Amino acid sequence: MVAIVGMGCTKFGDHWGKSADDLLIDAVEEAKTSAGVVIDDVDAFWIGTAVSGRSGLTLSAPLKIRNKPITRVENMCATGSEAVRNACYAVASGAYDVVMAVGVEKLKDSNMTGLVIPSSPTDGTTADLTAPAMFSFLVPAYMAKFGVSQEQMREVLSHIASKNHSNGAKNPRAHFQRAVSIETISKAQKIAGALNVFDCSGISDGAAAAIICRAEDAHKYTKTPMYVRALSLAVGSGTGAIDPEYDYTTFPEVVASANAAYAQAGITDPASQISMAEVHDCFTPTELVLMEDLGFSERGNGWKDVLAGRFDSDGALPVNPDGGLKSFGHPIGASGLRMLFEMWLQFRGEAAARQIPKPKFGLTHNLGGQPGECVSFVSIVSNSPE
Amino acid sequence: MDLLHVKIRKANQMSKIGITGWGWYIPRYQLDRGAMSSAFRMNSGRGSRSVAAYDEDSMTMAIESARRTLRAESNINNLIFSTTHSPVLDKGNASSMAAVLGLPFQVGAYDLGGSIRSGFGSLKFGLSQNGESLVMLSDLRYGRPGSDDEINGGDGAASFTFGENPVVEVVDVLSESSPVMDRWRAEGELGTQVWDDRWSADQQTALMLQVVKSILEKNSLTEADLGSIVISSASVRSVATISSQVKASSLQSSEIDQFGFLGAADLGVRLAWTLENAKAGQYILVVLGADGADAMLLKTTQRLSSAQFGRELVGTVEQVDVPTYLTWRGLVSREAPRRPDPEAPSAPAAARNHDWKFAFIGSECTACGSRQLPPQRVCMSCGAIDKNRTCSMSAVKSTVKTFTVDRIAFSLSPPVVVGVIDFDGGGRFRCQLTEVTPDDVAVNDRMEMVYRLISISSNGVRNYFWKARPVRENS
Repeated sequence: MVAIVGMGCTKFGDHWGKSADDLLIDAVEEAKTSAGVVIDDVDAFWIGTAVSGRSGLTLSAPLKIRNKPITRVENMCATGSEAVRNACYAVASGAYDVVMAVGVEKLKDSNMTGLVIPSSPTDGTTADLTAPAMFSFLVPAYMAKFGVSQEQMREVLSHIASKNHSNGAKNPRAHFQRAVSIETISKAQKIAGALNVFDCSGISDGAAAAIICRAEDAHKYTKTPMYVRALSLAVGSGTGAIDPEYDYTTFPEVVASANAAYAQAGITDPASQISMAEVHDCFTPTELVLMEDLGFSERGNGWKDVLAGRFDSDGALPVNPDGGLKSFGHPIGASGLRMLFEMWLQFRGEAAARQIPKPKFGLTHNLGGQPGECVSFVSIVSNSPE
Repeated sequence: MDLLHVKIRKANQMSKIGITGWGWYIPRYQLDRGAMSSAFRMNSGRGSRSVAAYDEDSMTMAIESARRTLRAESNINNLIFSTTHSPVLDKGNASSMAAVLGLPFQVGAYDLGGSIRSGFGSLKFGLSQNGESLVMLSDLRYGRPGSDDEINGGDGAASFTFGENPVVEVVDVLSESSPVMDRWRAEGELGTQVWDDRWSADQQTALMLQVVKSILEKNSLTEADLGSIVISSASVRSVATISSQVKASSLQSSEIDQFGFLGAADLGVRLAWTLENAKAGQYILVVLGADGADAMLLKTTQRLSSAQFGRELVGTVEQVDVPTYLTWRGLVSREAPRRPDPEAPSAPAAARNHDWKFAFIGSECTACGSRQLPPQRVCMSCGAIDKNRTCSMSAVKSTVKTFTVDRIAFSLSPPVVVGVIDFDGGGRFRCQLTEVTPDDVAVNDRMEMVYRLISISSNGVRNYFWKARPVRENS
């Protein structure tokens, strides 16, 4: 088993005054301080970034790290988790003793509206869609399959957005720290399908880092390590857009990765055993579908659980207590690490106004891609190795 | 009847090549001429003119007319494309069109265009070739607001196949050429300029009347022998004069006038429309006024009764407003969203995938029957590798599984409507929907595929591909 023994996370937001290098330095410093290590103590590094750097030089250059093994990883929006995953297996294998996983994204230097994922030359036959449009397909499909009316669906999506904004309002690191009413959210102008600007996560700059070692070494660095009880990654075959069998009401990759993680951690009833979860709410319908795919709600009932407040900060299973991608923000490479950072604070009793009483198992879920072709990562963490 | 005439008539009758099929395509959209005149405080005509959509051009319209002309048994040797508004120069459009229509590589494909008269010339080419030819006439007519091209012009296309055992025989062709400069447009210029129409019409009308007279005399016919007549000219005045002086003009259908003058496609669409309503054993005279005058004397055969050709009926017509028209034709450049410029398609990638890229041919796994669009080497259902056959999907209808309206993505006419469509018999594809209003699309709507312009990259490359549009009763 491995443990996270130090973490750092910058504020996420429109960091006009900070470069990717600046954000990396800040996050890494905080993590080092948190674990009481210096760079020389760290044997290997994984730097996750989707569009803000290439090769290990992304990390070594700003931090002036000399001749250490540094791997740049990318798995679309699950990049941050990918960095953690690789770092964990590195110490678990015995190849290294202490490693660092870092994630960073600098999105606000570009002049684009919304996310732009760079692509290679193609034959020009794929329909060009923005990210909100890709996820907006979930909405009519879910409504039709489970008999949810347009008004009800709008209320469900607004509830999710409002919850995440309220949570972010209690979080000094969040990009958006203002609660927004359900009424305001529901009335906003549509930008893709049924989705309006409040249904979409923020485009943000930010970085986060984690220091990881084997569980038996954790005591050298902290009295309150966070144990990694499960790690899973499921990469789909990307056929949703060409396979009539796919119905746009689920992410099969999420179901697969969740089942693998629960098996590793010995979780038999996630709906009752998971204390808190950070999930990939890139868009509000995504969070809705994830509740069912992760087993927090019965298939087709997620919408009712949302409306009943089950996933609110004072509900039975708080989801995205730190504000989620929605209001904390989504610097792609950092998000997976940011999710673990909230788990870290919660287990150490450092979540202040967001504190969940005595959490036992936390779950982070990180998704890359789009409905029908995605990668899904799930981790389960706790403050105990048993 | 002297010997010379007998010999000529015999030669024509011995010619086995004639018209074996036809089809036309008129875009769904129309612009009210009155709306244009109010917008610019000018005088302009009454009625409407047809308008190609933002994602159409002379090539896409020609393809749609050809799809309604070709039959399963067609065996095309040569493909000719004529227009006065060519999407590209240097590289031909016709070779791409041959690929889109699924013709084998062993065809000749030629752009014979540039002038209004090119259309007639292409028909003569079709007549002159051994084996079957597909002649496509297509045009966009537009220019500076208030110009003749814009007010009197229209957009549309017609196709003809030529071959043996014709449905319509070409009895005779007669031409008079004239160098008079009645109109001119330099390469790259927006719109054609015209000399004083009174003078132009005077020149042209004389020649048109001449060819009508000559061709009838040469074939020992009078106007009374004609079943139909087609009069085509960019000059409204010429058409009016001919119509008043040639009694047979009353035989011309006036319904066709509702679209405007269609440039190189004008005589083609008028002829195709006329053939649609003709009877067997009738003489039809086609007269074109352009660079002089041309006449073609046709005779329908008994095969007409059993001929069935598709065409794009003008059913529900949609009016566009002036700003939309100006934007669609590129006369007004609107602020684009802050999104990356569309990329040019990679030429090598398009060449590798030419069946898919041009003809919308997918694959069907021979091991399990699963259909995949685009074609896949590794079957998504059973994992078989390289065990597939081609599967032509352009004529297959589909049902909307889900869709969305993307209000941020780049488009020549936002917002972008994208649908996930499931094809009859299997296969799914995600593509842009065209000819839809975002609020009107619903799950389970029926769709058919059309070939359209997707985008133009910053270095000027036009990217074309297939989109889906609603199936309408009259398609």
